[in-house]
Amino acid sequence: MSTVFSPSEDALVLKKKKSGLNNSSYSFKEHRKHYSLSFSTGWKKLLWLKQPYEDNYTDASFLSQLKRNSTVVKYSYRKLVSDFSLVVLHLSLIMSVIVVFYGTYRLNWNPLKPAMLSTALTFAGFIFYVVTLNIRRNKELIELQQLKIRQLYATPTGNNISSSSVNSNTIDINEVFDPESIDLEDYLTEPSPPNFYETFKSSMLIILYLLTLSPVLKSLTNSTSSDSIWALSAWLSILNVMFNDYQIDFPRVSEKEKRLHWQTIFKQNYSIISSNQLSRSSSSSISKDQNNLQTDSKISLLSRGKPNFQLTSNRLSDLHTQKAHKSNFSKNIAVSNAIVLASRLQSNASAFSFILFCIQACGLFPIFNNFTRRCELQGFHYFQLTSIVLTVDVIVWYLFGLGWFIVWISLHLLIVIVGPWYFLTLQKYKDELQGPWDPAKPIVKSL
Amino acid sequence: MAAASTASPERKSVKRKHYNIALVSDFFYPQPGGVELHMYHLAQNLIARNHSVIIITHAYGDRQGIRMLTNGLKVYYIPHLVFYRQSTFPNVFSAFPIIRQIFLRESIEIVHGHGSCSSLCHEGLVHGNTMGLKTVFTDHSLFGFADVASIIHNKLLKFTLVDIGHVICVSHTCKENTVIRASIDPSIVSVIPNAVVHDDFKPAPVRPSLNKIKVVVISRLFPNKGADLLTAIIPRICANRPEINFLIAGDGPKFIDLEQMRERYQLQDRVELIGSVRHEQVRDVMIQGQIYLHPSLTEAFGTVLVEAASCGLLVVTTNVGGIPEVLPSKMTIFAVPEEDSLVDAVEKAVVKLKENEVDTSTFHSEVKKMYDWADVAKRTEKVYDDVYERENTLLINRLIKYYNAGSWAGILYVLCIVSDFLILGVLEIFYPKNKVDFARKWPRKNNNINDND
Repeated sequence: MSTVFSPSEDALVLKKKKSGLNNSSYSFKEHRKHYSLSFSTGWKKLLWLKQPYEDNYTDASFLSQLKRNSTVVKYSYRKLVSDFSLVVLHLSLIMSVIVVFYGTYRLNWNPLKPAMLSTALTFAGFIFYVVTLNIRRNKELIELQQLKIRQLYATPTGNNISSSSVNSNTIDINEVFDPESIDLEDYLTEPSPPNFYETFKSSMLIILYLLTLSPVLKSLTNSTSSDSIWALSAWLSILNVMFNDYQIDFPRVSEKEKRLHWQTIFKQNYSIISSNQLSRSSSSSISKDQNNLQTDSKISLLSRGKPNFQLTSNRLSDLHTQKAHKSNFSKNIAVSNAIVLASRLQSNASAFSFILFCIQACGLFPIFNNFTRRCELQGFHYFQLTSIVLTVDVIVWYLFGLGWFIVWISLHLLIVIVGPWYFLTLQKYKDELQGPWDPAKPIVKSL
Repeated sequence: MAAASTASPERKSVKRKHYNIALVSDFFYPQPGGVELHMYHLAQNLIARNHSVIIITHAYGDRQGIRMLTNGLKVYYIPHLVFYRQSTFPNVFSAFPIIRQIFLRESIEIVHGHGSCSSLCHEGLVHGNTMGLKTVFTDHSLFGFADVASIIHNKLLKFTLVDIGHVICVSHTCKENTVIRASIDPSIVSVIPNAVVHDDFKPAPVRPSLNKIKVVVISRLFPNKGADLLTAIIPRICANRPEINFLIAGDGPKFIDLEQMRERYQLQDRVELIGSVRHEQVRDVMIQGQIYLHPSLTEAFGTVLVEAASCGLLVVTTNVGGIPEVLPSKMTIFAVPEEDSLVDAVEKAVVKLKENEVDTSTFHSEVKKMYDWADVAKRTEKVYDDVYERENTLLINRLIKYYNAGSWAGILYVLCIVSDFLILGVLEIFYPKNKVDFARKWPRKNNNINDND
């Protein structure tokens, strides 16, 4: 009961309650009984009002504001299965590493073959990545430009800033507004594609490092027995599966949201004009210490709506920060697993190509797979999933025999079919409590 | 108070009991804050009612040992706990020896812990229970249920409150929260609000004119105190109404944001940021303005609202937590914790003041009637009477209670309690009770002025 009563009402209640004074000596339980018989107690959830009740009086309205499980999500089995299949995909990637190692270590496979295959696939994937990114980015740029043109038609502009500062007293919105100065590229939600030269340089650097280090890696654990290496590798693989960042959902900006956001960019340019002029006129006087200088110069440089944009679009900036928080823990584990295993191999070439294969399978492929899912290329994702899982399954059958194959397949089924079911049955234990004591979520619209 | 008068007849025949009370908490002077003030004023008013009160807290820097405050309020600054203060693991037994010594030395009858974040308070209550003393706990804060920190806190609180004599909460919302968090019977939970010292919060002798409206904000600038909302609404209000100025006292991580906002919108001459102020200076800051703005997102009680109203300020506040219970609607303008709503509320407050719809000059005397430390002490004393008459639980019943408090936690709780008893036995051997040096009590007032109210 959070409503507030006018003073006259309060006084009335007080008067009314004075007559029913004997209620106060009731104990809690008796009182509850009493309440169930009587119709109203007239107790108010107020501290400033002296009420004729004991301090430990508990009204029937106690906990009436308690909400339960209000944020609980309904899960669909189908969606859960597709989410859990990511675990199977990751397991298969790790298994592919183990399989390649087993092949080169036991069966004297040519170590270069898997590495070459994976390199070729990585190269093709990279081309696909760059082309898709470019296409999406350009599409968005075109949309934005169309929006800008429409905006320009709507408001006739004379884009001269110099004149605006002269007659700053008579604020003419259209004169100050200068859409040309907005760099549209800055407002795109799609990330820019990687630079070919830079990527080539860094990948060559890594390959050369690996080449020079592979003799060292090869003899790294000579003094350790093989059994400890297998145990270590098994643990690393388990940790890898446990700590992998599966990235089930990507923060997506819906089409509508994007449009709204872009429109605010243009609107912001109108609304900040007055503050712009202020900052322009006095920017020289404020910037005294270093801190001030920095913030102020930032404001005056980017004052064409950009700082405001950064603060308004919480949703979009969230998107960018979330990208930065990606966990690389499982990738580090994958690389250490590769190094540990490579130290058992006989030749430099096999150690080198094995590590290269590992980096491509466990380091680069998950990034590519995440990218395809972010771009909502569901078909392509499922193609990757099935082809990789099936290939690994078949190889497992050939290398380890039917028994291990059945174990491996039942592990898949356990994860994909039983896992989601178990997850759904656990949902009934959910007991979320919410009430007035929870910190409120403030709604901050603009700055 | 009506309820007090109904209870007094049967007690009148018995001579009123004067207790030896220990207030235990990690939070006390020199640290500033609500719990600290509450404890100090409660102690002073209990002493005025002829009880003997000591405060047990941990050492702050070189402030160690025993200190005497006004009216013989003895404060024990326990040295060895400082080291553990940052530790998240609940130290169940570490302070037992020294706490037992203090309890025996001062012949404590009632242990009153304050603040659920204080591990010393939890220890004091558990050990007090083990030693067969009566225990009371006051909760000052609200906690959610969703995050890890809250879950750990709530488990700890549950452990402490399984066998508590009585719990005091500062607001009804706080009571609901505590009852759920610790799963205790609501009938042993009393609601006794904080209060203010009226003489320290008198309104300005000459009221500031209404030509220029000054909005005062006194708050630690943390996200949960609504500092983001504050940063968002100030430029909007300043743009809408040129006669409004802001005076913001308080420090915290969001101070920089406010400063940047002030730079960006060129509001240096309209928004005054004076940093943190001591509690003695709060009134001097408040009386410079006409409106007090409180954008907090969570609040168990909000003593500062009462202080502001007592200083004759019209209060604009968010209606979160226990805030709606604190002040009558004529002294406050409520807003939901949203930017638009707060802006509207401030503007409504200005209009109300300008059109003389509210008479802030009567606020002080009205608040005086609502909140008074003497009243708080009287009500707390009733709680003490209640727990003092209650029989101690038998050890076996106590263990059963603890065992039922949780499936896994229950076993852990029982283990803790059993070892607590063993430690008590060991301490009894090494430091026998009769070897303890009993402290001489500060002379009690022998007049019984308070007995007949």
